[in-house]
Amino acid sequence: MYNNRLSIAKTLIMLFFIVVVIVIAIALYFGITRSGTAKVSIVVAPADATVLVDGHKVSGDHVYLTEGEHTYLVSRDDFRSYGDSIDVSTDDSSEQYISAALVASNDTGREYAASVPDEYSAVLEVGGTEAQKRGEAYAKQHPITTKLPYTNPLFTIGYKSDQSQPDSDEIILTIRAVSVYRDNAINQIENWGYNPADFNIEFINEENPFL
Amino acid sequence: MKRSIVLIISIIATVIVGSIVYVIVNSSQPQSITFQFDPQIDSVTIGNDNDTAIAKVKNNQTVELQKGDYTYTPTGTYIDTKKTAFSVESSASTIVVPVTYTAAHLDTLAKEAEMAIAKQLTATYPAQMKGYEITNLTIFSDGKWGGVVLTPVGMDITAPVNYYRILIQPSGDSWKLNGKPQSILTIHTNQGVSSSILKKVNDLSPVSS
Repeated sequence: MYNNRLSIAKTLIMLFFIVVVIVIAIALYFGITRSGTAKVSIVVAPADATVLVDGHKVSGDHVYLTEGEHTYLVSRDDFRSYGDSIDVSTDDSSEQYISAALVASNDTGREYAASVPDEYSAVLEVGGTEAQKRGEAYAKQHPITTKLPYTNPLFTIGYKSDQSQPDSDEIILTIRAVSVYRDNAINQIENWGYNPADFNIEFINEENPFL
Repeated sequence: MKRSIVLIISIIATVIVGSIVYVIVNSSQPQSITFQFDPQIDSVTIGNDNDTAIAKVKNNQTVELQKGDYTYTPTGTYIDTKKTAFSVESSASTIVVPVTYTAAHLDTLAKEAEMAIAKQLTATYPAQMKGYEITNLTIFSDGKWGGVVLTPVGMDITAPVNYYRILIQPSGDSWKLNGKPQSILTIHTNQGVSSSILKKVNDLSPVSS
């Protein structure tokens, strides 16, 4: 009787150690294979569309990707394929997404899309979150944009991206004012605590005879 | 028990007294203050808070000063002898004295520059300069940069319009244009020039004083 109990206890202890070793091994495996990667959630509509990341088919609702740019292609029968790229950051603590809402290419696709409204809503929700993240990052890089556009009866100050430098996030401040009020607009930028000379400034409809 | 309490109190008292002595000794230690300036400045006179001169230094010379408030006054040909306040804290430091010319000398420089700048503007923009004139040419305090405001001939000074500013800089014994006339100068229109200099040009009034 005593030997029997001892044997059960031994077996349980052995089992416990085996489970611990397995858990540690799994943790080590994922720790090694996923180090230097970031979790990227996949939200596509229709949800059963095929997703290729860097040419490799992925399944499930997330994938681990290394830092840098990755291309992806989302496709499904009866829908137009959608391809884009994602710049993955391993420092970014917020969630990163691969998202796409495919557009139906025929009646069968349209019928199917209408039957899965929740899947399209999920993509829209992700789009909103991503747009908000982009907006926050942009405002951090160009804090003056939080004041813009600014309009008063004398002038309007706005901004646009600098198309002459497509690879950068530089902006151009645009000022719409008749000549007599240009300096008022410049003074407004100074009143916000900025030196206007630090910006790229464009006066809309200005005809500078010296340029 | 009593001995332990006496021992602890003694240690605490020693630490407190030691700290106070350290702070007093440290704060009364003179600090090395080095003065640096351009050759246009001959020397700098240091005054204490009673406005009494206590030292005269040459470029790169170091003086030992106690913690406190002081003033320095640069001297040199055409140099503005305006006093500037400074403080000595609990560490060594370097004070860079900027060159600031007298208003009279800056006016003289501006008059000398005006002819050269007018000539260059007419040569560079012959058609445009038929309708424009220089209404404000200012040389900034250190004489290394200046600004010009060009206004349409006959502009109503109560409502200035269509005026442009341009940066100028010394070139040998004369002055030259830097960039093109603009409504506002920025680090994009005048690359390599600090925005603080450009701000001085942008602040120039289109109406001559």
